[in-house]
Amino acid sequence: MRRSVKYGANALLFTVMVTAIVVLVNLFSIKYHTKLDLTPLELFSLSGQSIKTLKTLPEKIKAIAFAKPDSSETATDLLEQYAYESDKFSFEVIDPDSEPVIAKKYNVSVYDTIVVESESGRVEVASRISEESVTNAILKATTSDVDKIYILTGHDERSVDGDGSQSWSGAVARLKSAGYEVATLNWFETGEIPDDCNLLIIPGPRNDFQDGEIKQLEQYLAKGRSLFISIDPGHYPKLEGLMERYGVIFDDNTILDPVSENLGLDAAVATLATYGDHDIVKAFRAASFFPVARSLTLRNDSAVKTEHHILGSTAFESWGETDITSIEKRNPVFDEERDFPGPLILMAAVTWGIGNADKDAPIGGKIKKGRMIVAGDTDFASNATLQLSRNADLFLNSIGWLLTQERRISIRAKTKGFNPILFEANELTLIFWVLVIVMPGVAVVAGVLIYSWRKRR
Amino acid sequence: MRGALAVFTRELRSWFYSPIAYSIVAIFLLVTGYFFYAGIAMYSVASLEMSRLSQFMGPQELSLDDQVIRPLFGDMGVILLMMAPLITMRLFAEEKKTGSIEMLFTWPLTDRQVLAGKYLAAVTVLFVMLAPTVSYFGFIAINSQAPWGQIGAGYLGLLLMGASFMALGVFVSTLTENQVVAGAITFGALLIFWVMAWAVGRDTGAFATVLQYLSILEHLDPFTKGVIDTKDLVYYLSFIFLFLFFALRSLESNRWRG
Repeated sequence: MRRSVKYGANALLFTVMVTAIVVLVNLFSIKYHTKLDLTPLELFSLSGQSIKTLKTLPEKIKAIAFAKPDSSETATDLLEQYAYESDKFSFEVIDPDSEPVIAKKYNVSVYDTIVVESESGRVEVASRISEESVTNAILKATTSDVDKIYILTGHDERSVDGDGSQSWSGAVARLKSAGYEVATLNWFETGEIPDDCNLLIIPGPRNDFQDGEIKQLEQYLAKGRSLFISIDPGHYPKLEGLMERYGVIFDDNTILDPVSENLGLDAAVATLATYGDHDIVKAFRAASFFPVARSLTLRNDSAVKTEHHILGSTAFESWGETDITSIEKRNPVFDEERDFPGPLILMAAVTWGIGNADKDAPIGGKIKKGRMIVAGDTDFASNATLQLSRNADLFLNSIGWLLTQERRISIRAKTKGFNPILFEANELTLIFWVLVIVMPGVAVVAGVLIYSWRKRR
Repeated sequence: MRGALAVFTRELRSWFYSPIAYSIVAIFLLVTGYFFYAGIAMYSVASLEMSRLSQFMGPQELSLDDQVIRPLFGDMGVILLMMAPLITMRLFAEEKKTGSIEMLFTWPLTDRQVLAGKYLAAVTVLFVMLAPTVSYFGFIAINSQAPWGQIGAGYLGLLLMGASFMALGVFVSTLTENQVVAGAITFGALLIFWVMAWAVGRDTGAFATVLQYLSILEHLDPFTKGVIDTKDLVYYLSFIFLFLFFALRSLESNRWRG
């Protein structure tokens, strides 16, 4: 009796000790773990930008996803990746219908909204279950200095309010949701470009600038401040003259593109078919669309010494039509002598050194450079077109680059895509027979054979 | 090692010289085969509908991973949960009942060798159940690109989870000499481990976190989507180790309990 008590106590003690060690090993593995993503597109791994954001989180962040039951798995899959990258990130996924009080607290009334709250109490909203949306919300909730973008008005530029198809309100909403502060600037009222302007956008003016305005703009650029300018087909000699000083010629044409016609669009929509070799567009694999655009010519012999990078051009088949009346009559034909042959440049990034920086810069040192993006079309970012293909990414990445805020470059959404597999009826029948009848049948027959063989022996 | 091998061979022989293993494998293949067929048939219909829809509504999302592969691994997990007790319940309970365990103990074998032999035999049966199902994905590969990385991860997860089931089952089987009791307890215990996280809800307290971590299903999910996390590997290996360790203690207790 005493012997078995002794053995029993020993065994119990041993068991408790081993269990405790296993628990410790598991605790350690929860804290320090790594993963291997074997999906073809690394669907369950965040982009470099999101990881960088998470690794440099200044404070704790909590995300609450208000997801419908059928999208809660998507939300969990996404937020788990954030939690994996940072201990400072925690999350929960809740059904707003069964937890209305919490939904009310954060003022959430739309499904699939993710609320991001920082420890210091800043609340930002990601309106979609996507990496881009969540990462930008985290950035907004943790960054205090905000870039200010001014959008110029006063020359009949694109409006930034209203939901008309030509309006830029959608683009402005995207800028705001990406964390930028956006305001309009009426030159006639202020008389100057404000000091807190980090980026000036001139979206398709329909009236040319005055001499004084050109001079101010020139000074603005000379200081190395950023500009986004799009000029639609038309005549704006003063503005175009300024651009020429930076080596950018806005050609006097309207692009016609048979590629677009093949896609079921109007021929006057230029299809940006080839992207250049630049950070802004390097991840793009699908086309962008530029309705009623003019082409750009880039020159090296400009008054200001500049560097140009083509962001995108049309296909070989397109051309720049110079005879507007032929377009109106709907019978445009490429005229070798007068028209511009494709491929045509639609958008370009321009940089230039400031002052005598080129001369004074130490060898290997960094020179501060001015940045500008020029586009031969304003409509690509208007409400009617922004949602098409890569247009929105092209716009947001351009703005991100202009503000040298690599932290805010848009993230290409990784989707599982559309992978249809069609089986013919007879193929399905074959699958049924093989899987449901033949394979289990083989196991049954093997069993019967072995059994009867054993019995006979 | 040789002792364990002897037990392993003896055990496998008793499996495959009798109709038991064949009937378990046949039923497993019948059910999983039907699930796969149904999944593929529905996916084919959805593919056709979505192709038509995308002409009007723009790009659609339809992925084989979400619609077929992940659910199939989940289904196989559930079927394994139900069949695991059938495999493990007899391992020790039967021998205890028939008295052949006494004979086994008279062999010059350690408890560890007996346990290892029997456990590996059970895992081999599991392997024989799962291996033919790899051919299912061949049907996908004929018509499309099969995500083999994800499929491989899914099988690794299933094997680890199945091996965990076996470890728990072996332990329970050492406790009783009644096979049905062993089977029932194993099934109940596995089910508890399976649904553990369901009770948690949005509770984030320490207890809820522990329950969630212990849930055997939580750790299969990453594998089925193609992600191998060391944390999940450690969980399954710990589970297996711990229950085999308990089984060993239980076997040893036979000696000193008298």
